[in-house]
Amino acid sequence: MTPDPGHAVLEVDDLTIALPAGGDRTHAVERASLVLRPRETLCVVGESGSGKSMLALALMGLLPKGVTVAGGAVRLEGIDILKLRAEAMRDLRGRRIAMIFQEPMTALNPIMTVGRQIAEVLESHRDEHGVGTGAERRRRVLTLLDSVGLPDPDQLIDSYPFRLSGGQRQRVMIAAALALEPAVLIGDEPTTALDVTTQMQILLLIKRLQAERDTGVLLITHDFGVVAEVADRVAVMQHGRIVETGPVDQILARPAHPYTKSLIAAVPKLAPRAARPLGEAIVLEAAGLTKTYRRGGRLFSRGSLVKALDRPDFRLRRGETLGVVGESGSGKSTLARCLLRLLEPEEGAIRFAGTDLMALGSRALKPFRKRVQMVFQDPFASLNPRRRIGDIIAAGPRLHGTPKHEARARTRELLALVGLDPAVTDRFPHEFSGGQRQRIAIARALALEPELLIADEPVSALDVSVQAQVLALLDALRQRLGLSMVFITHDLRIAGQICDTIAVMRHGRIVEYGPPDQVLMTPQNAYTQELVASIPGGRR
Amino acid sequence: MSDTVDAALRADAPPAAPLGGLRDFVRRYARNRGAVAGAVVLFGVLVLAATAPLLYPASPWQMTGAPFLHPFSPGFPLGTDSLGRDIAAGIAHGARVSLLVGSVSTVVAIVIGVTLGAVAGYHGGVIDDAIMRFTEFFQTIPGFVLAVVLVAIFHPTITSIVIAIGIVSWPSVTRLVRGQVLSLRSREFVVASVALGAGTLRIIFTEILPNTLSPIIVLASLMVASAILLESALSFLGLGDPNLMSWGYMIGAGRSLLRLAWWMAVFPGVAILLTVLALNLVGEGLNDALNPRLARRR
Amino acid sequence: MAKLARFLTGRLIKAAITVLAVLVMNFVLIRLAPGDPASVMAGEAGAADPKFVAQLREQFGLDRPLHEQLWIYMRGILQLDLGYSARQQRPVSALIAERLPGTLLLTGAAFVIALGCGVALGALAATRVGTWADSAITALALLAYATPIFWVGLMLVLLFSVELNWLPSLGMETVGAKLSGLAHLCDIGAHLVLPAITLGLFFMAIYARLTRAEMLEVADQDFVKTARAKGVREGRIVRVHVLRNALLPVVTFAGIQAGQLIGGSILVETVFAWPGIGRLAFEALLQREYNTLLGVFAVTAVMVVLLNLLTDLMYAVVDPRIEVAA
Repeated sequence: MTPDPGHAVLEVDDLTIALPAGGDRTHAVERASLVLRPRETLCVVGESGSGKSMLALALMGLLPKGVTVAGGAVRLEGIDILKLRAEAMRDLRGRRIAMIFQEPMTALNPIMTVGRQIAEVLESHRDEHGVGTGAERRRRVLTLLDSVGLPDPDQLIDSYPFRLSGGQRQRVMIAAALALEPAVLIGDEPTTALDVTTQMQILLLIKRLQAERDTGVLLITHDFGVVAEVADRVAVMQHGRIVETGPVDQILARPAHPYTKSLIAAVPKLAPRAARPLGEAIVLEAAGLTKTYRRGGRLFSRGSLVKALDRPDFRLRRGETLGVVGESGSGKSTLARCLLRLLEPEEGAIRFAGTDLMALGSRALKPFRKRVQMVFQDPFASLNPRRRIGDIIAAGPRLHGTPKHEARARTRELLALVGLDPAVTDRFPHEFSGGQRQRIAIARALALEPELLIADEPVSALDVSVQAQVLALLDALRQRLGLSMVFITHDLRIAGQICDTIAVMRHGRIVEYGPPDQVLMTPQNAYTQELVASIPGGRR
Repeated sequence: MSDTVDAALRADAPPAAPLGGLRDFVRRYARNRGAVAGAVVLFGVLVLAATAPLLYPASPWQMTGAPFLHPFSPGFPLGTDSLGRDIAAGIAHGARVSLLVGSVSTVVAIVIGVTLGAVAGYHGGVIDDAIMRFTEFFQTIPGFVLAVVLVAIFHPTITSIVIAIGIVSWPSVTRLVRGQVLSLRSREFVVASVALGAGTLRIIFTEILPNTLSPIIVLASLMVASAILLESALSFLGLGDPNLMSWGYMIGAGRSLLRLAWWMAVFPGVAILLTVLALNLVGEGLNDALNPRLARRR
Repeated sequence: MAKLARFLTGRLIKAAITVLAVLVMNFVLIRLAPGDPASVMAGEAGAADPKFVAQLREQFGLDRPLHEQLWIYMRGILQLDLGYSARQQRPVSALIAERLPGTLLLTGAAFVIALGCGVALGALAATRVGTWADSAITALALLAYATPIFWVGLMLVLLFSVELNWLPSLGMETVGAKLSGLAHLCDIGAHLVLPAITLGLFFMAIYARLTRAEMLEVADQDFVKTARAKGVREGRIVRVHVLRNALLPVVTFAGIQAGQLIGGSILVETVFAWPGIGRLAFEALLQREYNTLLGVFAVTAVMVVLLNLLTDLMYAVVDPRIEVAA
């Protein structure tokens, strides 16, 4: 896709955005400059706190209360929009510049039909494209729904958002954004909350619509895979500043700025690990597990049955890391919780070192709690906000009879082991960053000296650079302590890098099982092939 | 890769300043001027209630002056009623009744409510359904009418009033606690606790309840306020404890004499207004101070 | 449509069960009251007459086993026999039927005032959050919420009737004046003003604060940001996106509060001598006629259940998600 080398459709000149007084930063964005041309996709990449979202909001005139533009200019088709009055800016929104947001599940008004929400754009800007009467608007909405690839537009136009999936709602948002064919489309992480396969579909949709309408697309993302997939040019942001810009090939192959280099280095590559020698002893075996949920049933209706687990059988050898990969709804989290009997499966056996855990009552189960532990996904929810981290880590050993002073000493050892200062035992969780909390969660899991560690998406909620650190930590600990691990993730790249075996799950069953180079390079199952093809930037 | 391993095993940047406990709480509370005013007024009412026997040692039922004295008469700053009883003495002693009934009935409601709510929230399923139906029933039937019926049938004494108010007020506590427990139960730190091998009771007391404490405290202060309103309404209708002078009773007594002695009804009403207002302000102040992250634009 | 019908049936059954439970509760309360149930039912005036009490005893089958008594009681209720008032020498059901319209008029007017003004003020405060208008409305709401209803009534009477003599202070109509048609309606209206405002003020404060809080919360939600990004006019955003979504919980809450509103009418009717069932309850209290009191309780409970049903129905029509949730 060759961008029009002519005049730019959006120019940002030395933009500075000030934050309200009293925070830990004075500016969200400092002296940012960029240029966007028609038919071009510019990706703004940065981690959380880089200011990329504020930049996007400033371009739309949607900065929150208290956050103001402190300097610079933004020219949309030649007009400095920062100098416009509110009504003039409102008119431009949706008509010449549009934005779609990250979270599709909450982005639509729940009590308004899909059709009305798209028609609203047309109604709010009269005299455009001759969409005068109600019937004409309806026809236009139907065309739009069709152009974004939504099935059954006649049905959908009168449906309410709750009937649509995340991917479908995002398409509706795109339809509304492009209804008046604006010159610029801003996407603030529009695919981050979607499944991998859906993500790829949406990215390709945006690309196609862009080509049809000559739109300039400004895409905000933290994922360099997405950058590799769709970008023409890239701008890298750190702490509110744009540290590097350039064509995508140049940035990916020859990054100049050290931050860019570290970001790219931290992206999980599609590089399956080499095989390691493993023993024969089986430490965990899952056989015939089933778990069904009844969805939507109330007092007078039955609802539908959902099979969360449909006999995903596997065997884990001692010292092995098994990666369980799947999208949302595949059953991978349910499996993790069933293995620890945090959820009760209906049928099946879980054999840990020979003993069937399913046959044990809660008393007999307690000693096994010491041998199998879990690290959870959300570092912000997995630590009790009202307890000090020293107590949190020592809780496990104390529950199993370790005396207080011994538990305290062990806590300090563990903190050092995971790379934190042992003196912070008196602090509360909210005083730590996401990556640090995840280390604390790992320390808690290791406190009981387990043989088996189950990690449920332990790095999904972390920034890319921190992800790499925590993954490295897990790997180092695994070697040092001789742990066996079940690693749950939705990211095939990560699974490929650190796991000995990968199991791909879909609808509660394992559809593919094998070493990383087989699963990633020569997948046998059609779904796995689709997953691999959906890895953003996989083509580069 | 070795750089990242080193980075992984090295200590990160130092964490932010620690939570200051009591001092920090007081500072956050003091940011709300209304809440501070409320606390001051409430303190004043408490002092009045505590010192009533010292200020007015005689029973407020005693006729200590000429009847129908206007306010600002010498010795009787708030005047006297139709039988020559000191209004100021009535207000001071009434403060004790109001605060006593308000707090005890709230404690009763909270004990019932927390127990039912925690059990319902933690166990879920049939038990939860049953408790919630029971709670909904008590929320649907008109509470004040039920309180009137209960006090009337069991004859008005301070005990029956306190229990009646408690019975009428517990549903909102149950709803709150159940909601909190339900959301906390599936929170990952609770699940982690189960994974460590903790038992149900330990989890409820160490993980769940400490995280529900602040909404319960806020609700409690608001409930004391409505309990006082309820008690005054009951006394106004003649269902107060006949041995205790209460603000509601005084208003009821002054009702038919509104033209002659307006001060009989006005002052006790102002007393109720100030106390309940103070409690509401304190409740809101507590809410902002205990949940700083949730404090929205005022 | 079928889903709606199923939803309604479910709610109706729930309502019926609630009413039954209330009746059982009444039954239990009568038995718990000190003294023999028959003398309780006879009331203080009637207890003096031993023949009357004996008749009651037989009528209620007090010598029969408990479950049979319950059945007799239920059967009586379903035939609308709520007992007999010795003082008034009339059946309780007749008394209640006579007074019910007065209460309906009063609570209806109070509800309309409370919800209408409350939502309007709350919305005003939310759209002008942080300004003096917002502070004023919030402060007034706080004040109204802290004031006892009966005292407000008395103060309004003091001001408007005693001092200013603008509005009447007692009853529903001017005694003795045989008015008809429009003049009659105006007379009732004039009498209705103070009581309705008194009863409505407290709840107006509640709805105003709730509306304001809900609107502020909805205004922060993602779909409002989306609407703004689409270039929708601010006025429309407030009306269609924010207010409509904020109203849902407010209306639900108003339904739940219905019981309180009806309870409050006892106080207001007492203060203003308004001829409703609340006043009837007060009179029954004074005269120790428990069967009348319990009759009022049962009727008010049924009223509240019906009102909740109505609110549920309205909610189901307004919120498209409910169809599926049912």
